[in-house]
Amino acid sequence: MTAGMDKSIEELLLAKDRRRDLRMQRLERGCITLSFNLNIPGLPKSNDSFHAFFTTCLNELQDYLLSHRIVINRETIHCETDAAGDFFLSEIIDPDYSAIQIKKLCESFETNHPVGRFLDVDVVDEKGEPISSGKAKLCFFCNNAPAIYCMRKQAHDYAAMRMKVELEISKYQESKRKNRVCKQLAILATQSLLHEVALAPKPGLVDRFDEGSHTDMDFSTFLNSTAALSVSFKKIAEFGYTFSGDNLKDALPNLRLIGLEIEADMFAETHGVNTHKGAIFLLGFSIFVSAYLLAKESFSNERFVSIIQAMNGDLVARELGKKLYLGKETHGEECFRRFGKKGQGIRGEIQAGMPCVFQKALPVLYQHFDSEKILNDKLLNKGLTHALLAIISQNDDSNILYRKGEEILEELKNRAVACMDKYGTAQFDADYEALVEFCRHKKISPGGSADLLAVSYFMYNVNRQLVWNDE
Amino acid sequence: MTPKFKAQAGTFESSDIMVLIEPVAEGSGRQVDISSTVMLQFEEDLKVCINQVLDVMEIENVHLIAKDKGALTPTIKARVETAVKRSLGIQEGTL
Repeated sequence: MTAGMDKSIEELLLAKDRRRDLRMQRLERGCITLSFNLNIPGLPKSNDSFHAFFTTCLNELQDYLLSHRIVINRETIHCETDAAGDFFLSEIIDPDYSAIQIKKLCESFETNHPVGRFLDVDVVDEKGEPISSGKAKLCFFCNNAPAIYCMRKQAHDYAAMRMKVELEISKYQESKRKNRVCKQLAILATQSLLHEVALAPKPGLVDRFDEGSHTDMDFSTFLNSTAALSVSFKKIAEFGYTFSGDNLKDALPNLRLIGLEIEADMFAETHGVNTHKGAIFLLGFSIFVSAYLLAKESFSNERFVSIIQAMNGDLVARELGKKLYLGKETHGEECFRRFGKKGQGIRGEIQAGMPCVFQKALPVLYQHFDSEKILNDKLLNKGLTHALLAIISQNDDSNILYRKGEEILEELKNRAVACMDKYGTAQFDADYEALVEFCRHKKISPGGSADLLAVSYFMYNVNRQLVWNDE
Repeated sequence: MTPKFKAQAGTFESSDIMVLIEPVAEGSGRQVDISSTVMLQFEEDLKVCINQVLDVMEIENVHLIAKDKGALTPTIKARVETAVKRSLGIQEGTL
């Protein structure tokens, strides 16, 4: 070895020699080889963030190749990180394409990729000849001269170039994370509605076997409604994820606008039946705030509750105290006028930071689900039933208050408390069946509690899948 | 010194250079051939860089062929030096 030769250059060149050897081994079998690496100026050629970016893009490249039916021989994959950076090498099996065609497709992968200038896909043909595009790529830094020109001339400062690479890579990774988080929130919100309505038996509510106390809706109405809601949940999540205003209250008009659009979609699918208005309101807020906090990587139930409270402030006074629509008093307004604080309904619940969800239902769900890997139907039935009772025992459901009055609401809450006390004993099943029968007989439907159950299950899964399991 | 063996160093990986050395008769002088797949305008720079290494190593009679894939100066120097040493029989193995 040359005296004085930089150790890092030596390692870099040894790594390249090794790459050549690996390529040669594969060439001996007469195959086209495809390699993938990042173009990172300066040293080190890889670190944690480059490696994560490499992995992301490698997955995208493999999907791209598969979609063009360019088949990689999985047994010949070599993938490692050394002094020359992250490196992937593989043989192509029985290609329907020539090496030149494969190179062209890989070039279009690079060109169409948002940060393709840092990606380098090389194709070597069966004879060991690297296929060259013949085109000089522009320098990513100045976007003016060919990259090779700036490299040779050492035209740019390494520290500045690496800063720019790191910035662009982190922006790209962030956009991938945004998409993943928003998609996941939409999936979880839809799941929460499906599991709520499927839960059976439930007191007075529509479930998979029974319409409960309802005559104008059944299980299929809820499935249709859920499908209508599901397509807009991601939009709310994206709004929350990207919201950057100083005052979260500034988000309210747009949030309401999306909510109104979802309501219209719901009514169109249910032929005018209100299945999910409360759920749209509660889940809409929950998705928005969850996305907002997840974007800043500062989600916690406590932060969530304080933001929900700050956003809704004096909601009850603002919305139930004055008329939003001219003409007939709404159910909510009448309830508030007749029952005062007890009749605040869903607005009171959200203004208080959803205590039914965070103080009553979530502890029950943690207890049932935390140690379980997969939440199957049987587990869900037990845990969600228990959580529903916890909510009913606390919730001043304005649906019940409005239709049945204070006395019936109190009786239902007391029965739910008594039933909860028997949870885990031999007596429970009979008591729960009696509660279901009581609601059927009195035609009580705790719809507000059903909405809160869906939100509770959503919040449980946000914690479980996006907070505890993230990265 | 005059190279005795055919030798090579380097790879066709991007940002590298492949250097081949062929022994020539004493007194036939230096011949440096460059084929850069990336840009011809750097041919002279490459030649200067290669000749600097040959000067330092006091190699007067040699045929050197370089196939460049966008290598930087330290890489070019290291690859030329290794190829020369191999051709002189004073370095085995890698680089």
